[in-house]
Amino acid sequence: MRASCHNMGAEGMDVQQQILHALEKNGVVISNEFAVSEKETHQKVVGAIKSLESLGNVINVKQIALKTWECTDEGNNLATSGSHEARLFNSLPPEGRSLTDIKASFPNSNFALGAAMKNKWLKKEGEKVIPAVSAIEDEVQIHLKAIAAGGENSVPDKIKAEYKKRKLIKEVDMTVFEVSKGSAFTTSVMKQEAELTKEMIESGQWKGKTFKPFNFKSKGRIEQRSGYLHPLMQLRSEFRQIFLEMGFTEMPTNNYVESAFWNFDALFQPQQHPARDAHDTFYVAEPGKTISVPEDYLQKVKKTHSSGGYGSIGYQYDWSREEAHKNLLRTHTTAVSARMLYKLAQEGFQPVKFFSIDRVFRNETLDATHLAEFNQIEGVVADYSLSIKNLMGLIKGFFEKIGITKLRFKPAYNPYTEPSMEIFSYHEGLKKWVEVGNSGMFRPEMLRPMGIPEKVTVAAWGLSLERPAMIMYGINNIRELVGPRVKMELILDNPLCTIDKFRKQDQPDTSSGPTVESLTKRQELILDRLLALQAKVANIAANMGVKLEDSDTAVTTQLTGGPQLGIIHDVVIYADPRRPPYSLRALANALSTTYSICLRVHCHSTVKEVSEKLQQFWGAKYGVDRSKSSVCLTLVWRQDGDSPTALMPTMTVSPLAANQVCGEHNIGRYLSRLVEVATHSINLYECSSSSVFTAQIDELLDQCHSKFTLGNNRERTSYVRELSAKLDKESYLVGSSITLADLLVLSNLLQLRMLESAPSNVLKWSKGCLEHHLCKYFI
Amino acid sequence: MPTVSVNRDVLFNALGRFYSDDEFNELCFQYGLEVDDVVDDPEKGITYKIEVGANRYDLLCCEGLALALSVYLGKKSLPNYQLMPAKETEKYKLIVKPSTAQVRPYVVGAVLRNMKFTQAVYDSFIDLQDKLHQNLARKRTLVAIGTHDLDTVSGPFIYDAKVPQDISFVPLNQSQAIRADKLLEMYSHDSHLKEYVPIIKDKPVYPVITDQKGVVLSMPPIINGNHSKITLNTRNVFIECTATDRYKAQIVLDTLVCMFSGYCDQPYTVEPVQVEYPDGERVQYPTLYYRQQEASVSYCNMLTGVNETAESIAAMLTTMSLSAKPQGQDKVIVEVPPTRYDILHECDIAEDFAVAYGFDRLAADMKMPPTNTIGQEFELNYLSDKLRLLLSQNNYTEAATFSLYSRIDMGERMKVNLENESWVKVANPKTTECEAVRISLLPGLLKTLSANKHISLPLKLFEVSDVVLRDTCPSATRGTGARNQRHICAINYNVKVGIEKVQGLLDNIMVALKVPYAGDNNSQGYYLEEKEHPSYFPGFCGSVIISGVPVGHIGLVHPEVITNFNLNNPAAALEIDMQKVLELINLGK
Repeated sequence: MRASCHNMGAEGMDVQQQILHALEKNGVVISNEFAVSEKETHQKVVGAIKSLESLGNVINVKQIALKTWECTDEGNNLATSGSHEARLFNSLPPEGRSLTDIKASFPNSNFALGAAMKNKWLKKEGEKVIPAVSAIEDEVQIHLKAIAAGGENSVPDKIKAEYKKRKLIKEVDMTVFEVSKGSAFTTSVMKQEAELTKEMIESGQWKGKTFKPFNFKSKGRIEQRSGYLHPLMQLRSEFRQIFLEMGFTEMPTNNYVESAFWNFDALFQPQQHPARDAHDTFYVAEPGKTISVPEDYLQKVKKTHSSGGYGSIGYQYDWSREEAHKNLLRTHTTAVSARMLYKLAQEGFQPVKFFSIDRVFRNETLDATHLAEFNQIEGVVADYSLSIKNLMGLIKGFFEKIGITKLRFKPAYNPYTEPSMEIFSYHEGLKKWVEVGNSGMFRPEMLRPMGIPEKVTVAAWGLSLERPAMIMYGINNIRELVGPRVKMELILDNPLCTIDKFRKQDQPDTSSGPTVESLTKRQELILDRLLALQAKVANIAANMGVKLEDSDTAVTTQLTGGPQLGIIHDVVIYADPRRPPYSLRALANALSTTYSICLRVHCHSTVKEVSEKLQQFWGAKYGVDRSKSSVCLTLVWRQDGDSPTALMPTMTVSPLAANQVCGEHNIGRYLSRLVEVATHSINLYECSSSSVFTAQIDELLDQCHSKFTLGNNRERTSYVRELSAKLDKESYLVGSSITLADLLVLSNLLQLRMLESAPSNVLKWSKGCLEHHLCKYFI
Repeated sequence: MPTVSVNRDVLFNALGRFYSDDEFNELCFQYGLEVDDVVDDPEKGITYKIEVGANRYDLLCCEGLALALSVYLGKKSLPNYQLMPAKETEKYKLIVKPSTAQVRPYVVGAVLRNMKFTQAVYDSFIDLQDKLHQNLARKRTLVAIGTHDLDTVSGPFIYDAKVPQDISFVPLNQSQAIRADKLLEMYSHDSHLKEYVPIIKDKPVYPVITDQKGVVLSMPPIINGNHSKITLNTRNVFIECTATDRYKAQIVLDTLVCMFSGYCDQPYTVEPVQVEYPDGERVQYPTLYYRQQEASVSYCNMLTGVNETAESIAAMLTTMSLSAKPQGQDKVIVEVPPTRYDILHECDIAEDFAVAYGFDRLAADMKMPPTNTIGQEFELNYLSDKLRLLLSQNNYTEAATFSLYSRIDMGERMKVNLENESWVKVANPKTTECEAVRISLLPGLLKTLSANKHISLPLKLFEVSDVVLRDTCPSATRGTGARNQRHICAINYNVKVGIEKVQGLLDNIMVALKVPYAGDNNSQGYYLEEKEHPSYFPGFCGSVIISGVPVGHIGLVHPEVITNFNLNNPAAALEIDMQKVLELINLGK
């Protein structure tokens, strides 16, 4: 918009002025007609209209799409140099020329001669052609000139049709503008200033000027790309801030290379512990051995491991100094905590709170969620007589600072803490408890050899920095968050990292879902966007001259073409015998009411044996012969693996179509549409006039798929309970008759053998469904 | 953490009631277990995959899990595992030959008499051995278990180690006798067994257990003989465990016999096997040792943050499979059964008490510790953060790259000869991406540029992070032989770029740090001096010097380095050793 309304020159102003005057006189101006009458190009007139429009309410503009004529190259040629016949007439001397001469030298002579004769401009005298009149008027040229200038209305339609046949003119689409007076109409439009300048301010001229209005609807511009901090490093700063607010002191963790001694042995992690395996830990080749470890401390550690002490029986094995002296890349920052606690004990113990956030290394196979290095967040508190309750309190305080308020603790095992607890938080989105960190009290076998006093207990917890960052920025692949392959957009799009630090105060009830207001706002926003989109589509349609038709068929059907009548449907469905797609039986029944249907069952080589019942999946009748059928459903039993997706049925509609339809719910959708194309009497899915009805079914189908097909047993049972509540007063899941949703839910309950143990509402509903005529052979 | 597969119905049967998934999850959560997955198989029924603590060997099979949970729920009391007198002491002896000391010096054994196998019991028996092999036995390196049908062999048994050519037998599930060296060759291609082959492959002698008639029972830690194979009809089971760690062999044997003695006609009884070492030492196994461990009531209360009596602590411990009795007011005597080798210290007892008490109950009364301290940042990190902010204010954008590189990225692509550098080499990387710890931040920034060629130029990046260098100074390296060094690296990548662009940034950093510009090699302040560096364009690389000490490089990146990183525009770069700069100006350490 901005680009189109800048730089109006004096000429532009003239046209604008002319338009305004014409408006004042006539009340309305049509852009193309105005261009003809004022002998301006249409483009220029449109530019002037746009400029005037941008002034506000001076004029009203309506866009009209119409068909108009323009000259072809040949037509333009004739418009400038005259018609063939006129040129022939003009080329002849008064005494005329011989016919053969004309034919030999004049281009298009046949046509020119014919037309000139017809116009009675020329006559034939013997061999010669001579002028019959003294002067002529070249009507063709006049017409073509008029059309080229946009004045086609002066040319009769019959003649236009003839010219079109002669390929002198062609029909084109054109957008013209109908301009009328606006509420703030005036004929005296001043030249608008583009910007406020130094000179205007100094001279005071700005007072008498009008300024081109600023377009508040366009985006701003930035002269130079700003510098940003990396989102992960920003989140790291936030966590540092939290620890500092809680009175913790940062540990010097700038030593990636660590000895196995400090990384494992000092933590009372036995030398045969799996974590010390080369599969999990990066050992260092150079410098392969550590230079020094405090010898008296090492002796105490050795004794505690091999034969116990400080009230412990130890691990009872031969402790190896060589193993402890191996260098490695630290697997946790707890190695540094051990060093700090040892130092604290040497310097004289006093209560401390330590924290660190730094890199640790694991010899992982790299994938979307695993890196060889990540940042560990760790907090440690050492004081006299700390209890697990204190550890829990600390963790709660810490997590509240990042907006996580619902916590639970699960007993766990960790070689250097006892008791150990995994930290779980309730995930509102997933509606379940997820692990967010690990914690525990350091073992006396770790603390006492260091010289930490007997009554002192040390509480510690840890988590990774990357995981909360991935959740925060909505990233599924960790390599999109950190590392040299990170795309700059991540950093540029997330210039500021803020965490939900204030939630505790503002929102005491964290269990409640989104508020009604926020949902309303969201809904309104979506509707606004949809309206804008609709206007945009209408605009494009107008520009393209396309007429949009209202349609009551589903958008998906419009897009895919959907199932159609009159062609043979060869539908092949692969299904796992452990999950027979029972709903297809009812759909086959529905199909057989309107189509001649052929039903077949095959067994793929991956399936060793199929029960008699599944062999007869379609019932005893197999429908009509394939050659006489218009729909052929072939069911192939196949076993493709044990994962939920492998257990899902798939469907191919035609052997040529590469796309498979996956999942019983989607197959159901396809077949229901196929039913509904042929008859309006069966209304399973989409045929109803109510899109709400279809949307409800869609929702149920998707839920059923995600809970039953993809979910675990827990999700399945809870979904059955949900359905049971729904069926308390209703006899069907959606509306008052059986729908695809009922068929799919019933099928899933049967597959999962959950019907027997289902609540009474569900049992009652299933009985009702099974009595329905479509469900005759359901089981 | 090991995961144990348990048939849901079998487990619930043992627990005496049906649980919904939610209820069972909750029970597991309370006890410190986790249902990892639920597998529904129409033939096998529903299987729970349960994650158990790596130190709880007694929970590695359905029998153990069911028992522990039944005791927890108060439905069963703890069994008393009993060692029966041996029927024929001489017959079930294990005689150890001296040559075993060269390869696998220890052996233990036990007999389970009058057992009843069903397919489920048999599967669980095999499964537990496998779990023990994988976890406690460190993939059979520490301990290897062999189980045999006692009625097919005749003791006393001989544990010997012989040269491979002298061992020949029909291995499990084979029909032909094979010589040991050929057998190992064969198994080195077996997907299941190949990981155990290296344990003895290059030893001069291989361990072998035979009976009185020379029938080979097993060649540990690889394979058993086919002759003494256990079937569903087996009634009497002979168990041997050979080991390089005597204590772990004892744990493995105790665990195995405790878990399956419940299927004997006289439940929870085991018959011992006497082991005779060459030096005359005679030891009877299994030990089935009940250890007395004292736990102080005040300690348990302190660690847990509660105030319970000795009686109530003892009662709660009993629900955790630890039979305990109060002794006086401040003592609980715990009888640690042979299934609970994870109890090392009274802190382990305190934890079981806390679990029995219930973490949810504890959490209901959680409180912040009374520890009052004043927080303090680590100075180096404090200054790094200040400088990161400064660099971003100069319109440079921060990258976060890895500290592990491939050798080629750090050396060849940078035109740097690593022979001359004191870099830290990783011994066992799984991928080439992790072969070396970085000595410079520049390759990471170049790789970041290369991943962002779609972004409009100029691209200006920086990173403030650690590189690692070998160093023999014990104090500087905290005794390890390698130290971190914090670097600042910045790069300006554009169609046209000169050194002065990053030099301006350097000037701004120095202004911020209050280091004056020394102009013409004045020793106070900073200045540049032309100096070659293999990664930079000759003639366009300088040393950054503060008070006569070089602290880094500045220059145009060498065109070959540019192309090596799949880039095509010039780049000016700056990399300085921030720690050295701070040292020189007396900030930080």
